[in-house]
Amino acid sequence: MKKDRSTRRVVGGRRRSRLRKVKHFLWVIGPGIIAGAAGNDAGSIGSLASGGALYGCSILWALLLSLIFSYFIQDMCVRIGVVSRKGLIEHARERYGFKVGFIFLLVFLAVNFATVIAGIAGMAASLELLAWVAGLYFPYTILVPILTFCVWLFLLKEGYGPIERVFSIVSLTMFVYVVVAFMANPSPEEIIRGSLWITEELTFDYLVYVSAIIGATISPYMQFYLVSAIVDKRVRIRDLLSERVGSILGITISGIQAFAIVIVAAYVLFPRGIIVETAKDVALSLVPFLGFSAFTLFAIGFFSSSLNGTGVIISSSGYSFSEFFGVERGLSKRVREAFTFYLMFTICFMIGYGALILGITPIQAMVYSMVISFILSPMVVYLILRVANDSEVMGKHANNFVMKIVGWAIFVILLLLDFILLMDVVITYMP
Amino acid sequence: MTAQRFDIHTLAVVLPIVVLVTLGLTTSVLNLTYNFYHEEKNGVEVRAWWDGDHADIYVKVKSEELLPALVEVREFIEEKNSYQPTKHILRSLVISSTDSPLFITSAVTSKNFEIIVLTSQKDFVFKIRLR
Repeated sequence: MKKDRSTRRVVGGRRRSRLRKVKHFLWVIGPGIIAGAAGNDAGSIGSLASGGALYGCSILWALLLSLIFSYFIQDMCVRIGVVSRKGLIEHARERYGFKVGFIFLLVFLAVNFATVIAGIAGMAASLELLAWVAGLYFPYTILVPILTFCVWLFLLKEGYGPIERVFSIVSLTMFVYVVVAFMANPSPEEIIRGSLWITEELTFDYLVYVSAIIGATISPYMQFYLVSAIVDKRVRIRDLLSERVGSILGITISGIQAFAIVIVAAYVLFPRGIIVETAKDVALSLVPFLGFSAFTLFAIGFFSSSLNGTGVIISSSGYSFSEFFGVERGLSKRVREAFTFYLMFTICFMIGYGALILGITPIQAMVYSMVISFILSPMVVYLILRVANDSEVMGKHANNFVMKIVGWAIFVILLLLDFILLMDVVITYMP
Repeated sequence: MTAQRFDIHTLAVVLPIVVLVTLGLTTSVLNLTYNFYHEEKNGVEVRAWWDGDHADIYVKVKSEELLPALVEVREFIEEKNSYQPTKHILRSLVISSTDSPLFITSAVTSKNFEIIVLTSQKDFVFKIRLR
């Protein structure tokens, strides 16, 4: 009898210990999953869908390439966050001085402000459509301030834990894009061919879309958020492997969703010559071909993407601003403890909403955000490489020879693609 | 406890966004309430208002004799200098009852468009230019 009890106690103890380990693993992987999924924000969906609508599956190789780039860049970010316990802006200030660091911060905040406009507009637009499907009327112009306030209040009131849990669930709801992609009845051979070979002639216009897709997948705020969130959570070096797994999971989830969005556009919009600019256009265009269920699912995904993207952008703005000035920060802190963090966070919301009141459209915001992102992306990758290559900062977790080569190759390719995009912007928008 | 929560720092963070959101919400409500198109022609009522980046349209047929009615939405295309059927029609545009008006959202993204209500007796054309 005694033996039975002690055996049961041992088994129960083992179960509890296993459960604790699983819980701890889930706690550690949170930032990687959220940062990965945030790559598919409202603006990115627009870029992915317009690429798929114009070039069909032949653009998929660019997406696959950008995901491989993301794996390497995010992996370096994870190591920087866990080992150095400093955010990227803090590293920029320490390495290049106050002035350069401050310019870097301003450019980064400008990208975030422009991106958050599209995020807030995306949330309101998708909710308006979803309400309409349910037979309710919620005007977009009323939903924008209400949603701005609700998301702001949620981020302000809840600690890091609940926010992370909600955003992780939101990231998973974006799998509805995959369901919509299956509804489009795609051909696996065509998808594999488009993903592994360049089947299109490399014209300037095509390269512009290749750059836009790569730019949409590797957004600077993802890297800033990932490092800062890891620092904020105080993830220990012994959890580095789990954190790296989390980052890989996040990019895989976001990659599957991004593939699904391009496939939907490639099989529904491309054959019919329908050109789209925003995620809302895509959702609306699905109705005559895939029906209301596809439209509703896409609108749900669009809402989740916008919510997740907005949350991450806003948080990364607050983190970076506070990191630069070396003050307290973190979603778990109270307002009076991390005043600067919450102030910047609120300013970001106000600028996003204020711009929409002043009449800046989400498409304009997307263009501004893309242009500034072009300038910032190589700068961010350069900074990440310099820090991750530095064995004084990173110790034995610094980039090895292969990682250094891959890292610099990514930097050069991004620089070239940025140049193409900037040329396109100059040609399109210069009088 | 309450005094601790609403210290000066919290107020400095909360107040600006509360003011902005309240002002924005009031402006939106006022705009939607007072700045809209409204016309009624022989028992066919059309309302339209600008909702940020698209128009919302409400069509009601008040006379049983005009039913069923088919609604067409045409957007003004500057390049072609003519009205063209809008691309984004989400639902059937048939009105079959005087009790259930038709509500159309996100179909029109310009402020210059026309609504054509086709009935068995007469066709009604509403030219709309929103501010």
